[in-house]
Amino acid sequence: MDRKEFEVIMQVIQEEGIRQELGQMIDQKHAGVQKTWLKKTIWKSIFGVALVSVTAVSAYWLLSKNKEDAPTTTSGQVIVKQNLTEETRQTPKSYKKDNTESSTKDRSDVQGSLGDWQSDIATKTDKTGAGPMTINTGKSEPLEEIKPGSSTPTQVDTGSDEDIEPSSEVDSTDDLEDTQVNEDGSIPADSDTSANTTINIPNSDGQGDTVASDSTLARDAVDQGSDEPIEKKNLKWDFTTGIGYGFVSTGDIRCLTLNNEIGYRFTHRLYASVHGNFGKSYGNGDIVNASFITGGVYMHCSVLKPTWKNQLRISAGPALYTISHTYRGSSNVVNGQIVWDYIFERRRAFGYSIAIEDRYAVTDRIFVGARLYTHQFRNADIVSGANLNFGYKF
Amino acid sequence: MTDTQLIELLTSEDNGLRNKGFSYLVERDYEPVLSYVKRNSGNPEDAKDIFQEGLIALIRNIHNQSFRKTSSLKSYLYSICKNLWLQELRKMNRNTAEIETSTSEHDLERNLASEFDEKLQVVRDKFNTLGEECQKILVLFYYKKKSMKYLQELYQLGSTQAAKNKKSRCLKKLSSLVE
Repeated sequence: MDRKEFEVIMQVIQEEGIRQELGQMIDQKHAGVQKTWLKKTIWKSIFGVALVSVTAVSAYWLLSKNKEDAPTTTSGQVIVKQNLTEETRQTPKSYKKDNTESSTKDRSDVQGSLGDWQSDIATKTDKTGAGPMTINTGKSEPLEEIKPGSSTPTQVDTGSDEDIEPSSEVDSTDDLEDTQVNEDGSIPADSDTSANTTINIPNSDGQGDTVASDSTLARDAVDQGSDEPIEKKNLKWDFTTGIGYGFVSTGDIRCLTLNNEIGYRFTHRLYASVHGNFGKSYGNGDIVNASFITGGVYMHCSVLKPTWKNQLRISAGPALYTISHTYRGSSNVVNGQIVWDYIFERRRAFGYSIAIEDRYAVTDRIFVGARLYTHQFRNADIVSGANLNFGYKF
Repeated sequence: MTDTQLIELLTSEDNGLRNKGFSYLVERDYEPVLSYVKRNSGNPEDAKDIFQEGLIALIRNIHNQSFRKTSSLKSYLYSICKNLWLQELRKMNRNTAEIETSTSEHDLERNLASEFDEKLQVVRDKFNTLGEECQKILVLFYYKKKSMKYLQELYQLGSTQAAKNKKSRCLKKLSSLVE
């Protein structure tokens, strides 16, 4: 055996030795990988269950809280005692439309008082669904005595400590067309009070006059032609949560929003995700409160070449939407009092969603992002806004 | 651990240090290879073989100084493994149309082909035809640097000389097979 041949043999023996050593190590690694996979699967399951639970509880809480807050969940009415100079009766309006000038003026006059009442309304509204109630703010003279009627309205005097009493003092008779009001706001003695004090109020079930509406691989991830890796780890899934601000319905409801999303990476440029967006508004303008949920699927595409650090992507997909909100409906002036109808409404719609998002990696697993989105629904509602997102890849 | 430190460990004559290097590489780089092989019609056993061969090729290239330090050891090893697996698939006549094609970043295929010296391949084939016992004795003595006394105890031989004779017979057998 010559030296060269000996060297070759030694090299083969060396290789065989390495193979044996590595074989043992890799077998141990296999066992470790299986254990890790099992652990990951268990954690993912726990995480998934927790996420679904939190989502369900949040949605339930938002919807139930909205119901509790809504003064007219069971139909309600607010009478503002105020001396008016002329007899007026506001035409019932859609919450989406601007009120008449006088209505706006009247509302602005009583805006402050209304705020105080809202909490009272929630607690004192007759939740039997019976019908309207009257509230005396205590600012003016006591309520006029009203003749008993056929329905069961409630009189509440917030100026005193009296409890709500089922009252037969209010008649739920027809309309106010015949109301006679003097210039000083008083009612003539011969006028039929029972005909002047009540207004039909839509029920909470949406019937009546409610505005009905159909309403983040190791080096296999080395980008082609580039040495910069897009993913340092083979992480296919990511969870994103975000908070933001949005405009809902016709854009007149302003909401704080919470967005949760689970995404899956197909390629470095193509992702899919399932998202849920919750929003809550505590009132602005005619809106007393509102909450909505949207859910849907996004397909995300990186328009620019993604890098490990930064990724700009556009997203689109179908979406579903449900909103519950309470808003001021029509207002009427009765015996110098402004009477507001509050309407509770819930509607659902199907639509689509588009978004643009920029993600910035903080570490291999953690990233932050900013997203602008808009959902367009078939009932012409929209949900548009911006979110600041925080994400974790796994 | 930097690539330079890792290379020092892998080329060390000390088995302990070398194993430390192997262990580090297995821990760090095996999973991507496993993932790639599994994605391309392979199984964990295939991945194990490919990783072993890839690491051996890496060490050989380090010794030959054909490893360019312009790329990281991790991506270099991964690329070797990818190419080895592609070669393996071609051998098996599998459909490679759908296989993730490799980039030509290191021109490894060419390098590997040139480095797989014919003679080395012949010796390797012959080594595999040796009996299991002979293979083990040669590896223990020449690679793991075990003493004759250790071999004597392991094979329950009468003396260290008997162990030496057994090892010599094995080496001669391999040599004759190669010739």
